[in-house]
Amino acid sequence: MIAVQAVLLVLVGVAGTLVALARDPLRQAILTGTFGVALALLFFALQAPDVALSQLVVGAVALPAMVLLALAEVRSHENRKDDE
Amino acid sequence: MSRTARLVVFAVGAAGLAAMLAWSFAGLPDFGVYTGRYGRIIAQITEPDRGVTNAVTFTAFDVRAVDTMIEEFIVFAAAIAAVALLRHQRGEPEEEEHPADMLRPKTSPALRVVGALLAGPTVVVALDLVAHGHLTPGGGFQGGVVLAATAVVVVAAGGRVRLPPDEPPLLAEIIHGAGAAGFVLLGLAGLIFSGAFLNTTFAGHGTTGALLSGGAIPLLNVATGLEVAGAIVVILAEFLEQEMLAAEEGESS
Amino acid sequence: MTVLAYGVAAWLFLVGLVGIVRSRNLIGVVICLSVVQSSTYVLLLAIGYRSGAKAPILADIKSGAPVVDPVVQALTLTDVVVEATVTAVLLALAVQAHKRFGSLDPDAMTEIRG
Repeated sequence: MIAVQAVLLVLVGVAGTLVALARDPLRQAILTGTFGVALALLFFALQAPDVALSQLVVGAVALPAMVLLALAEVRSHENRKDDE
Repeated sequence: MSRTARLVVFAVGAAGLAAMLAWSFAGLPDFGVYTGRYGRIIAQITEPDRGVTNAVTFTAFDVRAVDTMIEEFIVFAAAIAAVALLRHQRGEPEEEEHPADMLRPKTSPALRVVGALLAGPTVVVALDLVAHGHLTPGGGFQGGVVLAATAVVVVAAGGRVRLPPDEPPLLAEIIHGAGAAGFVLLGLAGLIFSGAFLNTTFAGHGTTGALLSGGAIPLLNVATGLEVAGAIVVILAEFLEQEMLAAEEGESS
Repeated sequence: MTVLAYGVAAWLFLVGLVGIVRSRNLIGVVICLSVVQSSTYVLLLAIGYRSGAKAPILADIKSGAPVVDPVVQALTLTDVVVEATVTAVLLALAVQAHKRFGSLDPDAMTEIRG
């Protein structure tokens, strides 16, 4: 049990570092999804199923969806400005 | 201040912050050693007091219910803020060129089949999470976000989006408001029937482990689930409308 | 293990701050802010953890068995959902800023125009 928690803690740390140091926001969005899933697994290992459930859906579905929609919107705006 | 100067100042500050974090974490109890008393007391009174078995839901919706209500209002306000930020843009000039009031994205049939297959079970899972929130892991927040995720799945697979510029509000907005109001009304009911705001004992005890137990906690779960689901769907609908408006303008120009 | 658990929380906090300061894109700033928020969840759950204890669902556990602290879990659970909606507001702000200033680079938004 302790080994699982240690491995997941390290995984969460690595995933968080990758998210923060990524350059392209699109890549960051996808990495955020991975980070969210890793966090949810860590919460399961820390005996917190309720937290893990909400983190799983928020971090893997809602948050990346919002970020991707915002990115798409910005990109459409830039394309429209270039056409003018 | 140039970017390099900013980064240097940040580095100095971060070093100080790291030192203080290390010093303060050294004073915390070891990992795995739990010294608090609140948690132990709650673990002992959950079952006999209210008849629920999920201590986390009991804490969130009974012992700390006002806290949860305030956090729910943060969600409510955030949805309103997102709408206020994004909605007034719809008065932009390209309104007349819109052929219909429905925007349908072009997605492959395989994606649509998968979306259709996933939508039903996900809704059932969400309702199950909300309904059994006081017995097994779950509750209003979890079920609400899963319900909103269903909307994401449907739209991502190519569902239709209706634009309500001046039309009647989205169903999600009505649900959203109903959930938030429901929470407060249940709290007032606790005040009227049991003498304390958000006191959940007015709705009866029930048997431990049954679906209808735990006083008003299941009702609070339902109100929360509706509110959270409505808020997230409203926010996503705003983003989606903005994005599809921009994309359609890009295509028609 | 103690050092690892609290260390990861502190590390996530600092690395998120580094991401915010270094980022050249407003949406990247918002994502790194969510990393900083996640560090507080890890810290809270690490404080509430009890070795050898079970999850605080008392249905199958005999009474009196040690359980993990349910209070921090209740705090973290509502916080996760609130984080998502607040991030949405920040993203809406970023999109509007893009409409106003034409770019998402924080360094380009130095003037406050009235």
